Amino acid sequence: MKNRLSATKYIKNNKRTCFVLILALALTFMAMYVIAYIMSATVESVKPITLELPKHIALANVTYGSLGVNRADYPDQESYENAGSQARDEFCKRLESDPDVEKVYFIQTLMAGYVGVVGGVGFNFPLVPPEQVPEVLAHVGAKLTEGRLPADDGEVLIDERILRNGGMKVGDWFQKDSYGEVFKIVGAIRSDEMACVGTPRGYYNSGWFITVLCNENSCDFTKLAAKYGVTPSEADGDVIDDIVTNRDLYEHDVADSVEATVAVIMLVTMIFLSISMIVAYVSFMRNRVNEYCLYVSIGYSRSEIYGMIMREMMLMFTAGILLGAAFSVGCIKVLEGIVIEPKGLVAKVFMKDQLLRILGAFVMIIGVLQIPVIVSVYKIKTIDLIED
Amino acid sequence: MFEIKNISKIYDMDTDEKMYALAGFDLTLPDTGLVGIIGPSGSGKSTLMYCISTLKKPTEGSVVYNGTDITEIPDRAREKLRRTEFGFVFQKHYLVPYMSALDNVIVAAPAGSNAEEKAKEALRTLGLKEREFGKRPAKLSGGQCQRVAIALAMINDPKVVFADEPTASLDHENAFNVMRILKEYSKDRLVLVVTHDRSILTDVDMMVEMWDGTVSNVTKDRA
Repeated sequence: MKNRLSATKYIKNNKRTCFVLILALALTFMAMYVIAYIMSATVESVKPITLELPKHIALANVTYGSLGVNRADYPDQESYENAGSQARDEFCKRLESDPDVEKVYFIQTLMAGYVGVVGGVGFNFPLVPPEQVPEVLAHVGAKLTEGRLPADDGEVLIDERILRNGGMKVGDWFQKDSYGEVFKIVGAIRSDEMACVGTPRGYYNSGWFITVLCNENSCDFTKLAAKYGVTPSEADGDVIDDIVTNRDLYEHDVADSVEATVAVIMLVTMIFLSISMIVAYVSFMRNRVNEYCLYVSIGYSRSEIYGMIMREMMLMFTAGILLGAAFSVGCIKVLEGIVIEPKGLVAKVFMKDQLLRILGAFVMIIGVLQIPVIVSVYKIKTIDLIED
Repeated sequence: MFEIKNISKIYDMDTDEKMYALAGFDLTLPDTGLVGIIGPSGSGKSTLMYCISTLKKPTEGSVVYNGTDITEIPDRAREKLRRTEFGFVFQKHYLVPYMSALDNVIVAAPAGSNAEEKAKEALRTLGLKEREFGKRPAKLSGGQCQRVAIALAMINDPKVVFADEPTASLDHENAFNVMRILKEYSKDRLVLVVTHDRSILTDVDMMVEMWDGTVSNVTKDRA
């Protein structure tokens, strides 16, 4: 026989109690999603710099030793330096002959900092003579959106998002706190890779690098160098800043640490939510003992009462999830307006994996709530036992 | 309708001092009519009613209802019997506090029936005004609550209504009104009323007097 134990009656008639529960679920949902959103701002923002830009520009500082020039073979430092410099120039020419390489420079670079919501990254960009700036821009597909191209020493073109991120604008000194009044921002550029380029000024730099304007086939510097007889190795003091090292940086230092942080936050949130939900549900059902006893006495089975409790729970969880999703959208819009966009960051709004994780967490909480529910259902007496 | 054979109910079975709530007796109840079960506190009258209505299982003996020993049937069948053929009025009304009077009655109705209309009709017949249908039990008087409880007991049109001290919390006037309603219902069904108040049983068709766990006297056709 079908029953009339409605799941909506309790919710309709106890709006305040149920709303508190639904609100708690909604806020938990929002906390879990928005934290992941904020953390994604770090991951997503550095993606172009760590995963896209190195597909177009690979940097390496290869020691003379790796180029086959050893100090012991030369009588003095000067002849050693000359031989090393010559070997490097020849190596650059060999690299440039590769069909997948557009240009190779041995130039100074400058480091730009980019700060996410949590943590940040720094990356080197090339400092080339003014006449070579257009070819670098063309190579990375960057467009000048404001200002002019560098015409003199110590002038830089900075990506729009990096400008916003660092609170800089065209006409300012680039990262004045780090470099002083040395590099003038003469223009803003826009590219998918967040590329920057400038002209050198004296010896203000973040290092000298073999700078390879490469493509996806030639962006692994170690492989490219090996084709031309050089085997660079970090152990020998060579510094490589290419797609491989950047991918490693992204996966291990950025994505994994963010992932771990989100997982810890979710776990802690879930533990607290589970405990508070169990406490809430125990008191919830204790208040309804007489009601359940009446139902059993007039012929409803315990499984029908369990069904009603579960339907009520599912309705409240569904309402909590929907409300939480609405809260999350609102919160994300606000964060986008006051933090993400003004800081030149990029964040993922729709995170399918995080949604599935939250739903999984809620399913687990429903699972945990089976303990107080089943205990309470098992304890239901008929009214004659209450009256005894 | 009911044939009760050698029924006994013993509490504290595992202890040396067993307590006989029902001490083993036979009783036959008619198909229709108002039956009063009366006795002092502790005489076993409520236990008898709960054993007959399947809420309690007797320690020994049988309760045969329409040819079936309902002490031996599975839980599911007992629940079905209580849902479809029995109605209950308890000493305290046990209405669901957050539901309106009307919803409290509907909850006992079989699904698919025109429950709302039937519940309204039952509440009207029991003297509740339309404006009181939407009120929660806390906003109703004791007498009104008990009438809602009676409507709840009758909504599924049960063949038997079990009423345990249905007038205990009512004043004299309301008590007689409730008894009048039960008497009316008993014209073509069986109504069992357990009470210690002899004054409300003036109109019963059969009186079962209990003393110390056994039937001390049965009087029929009193009305």
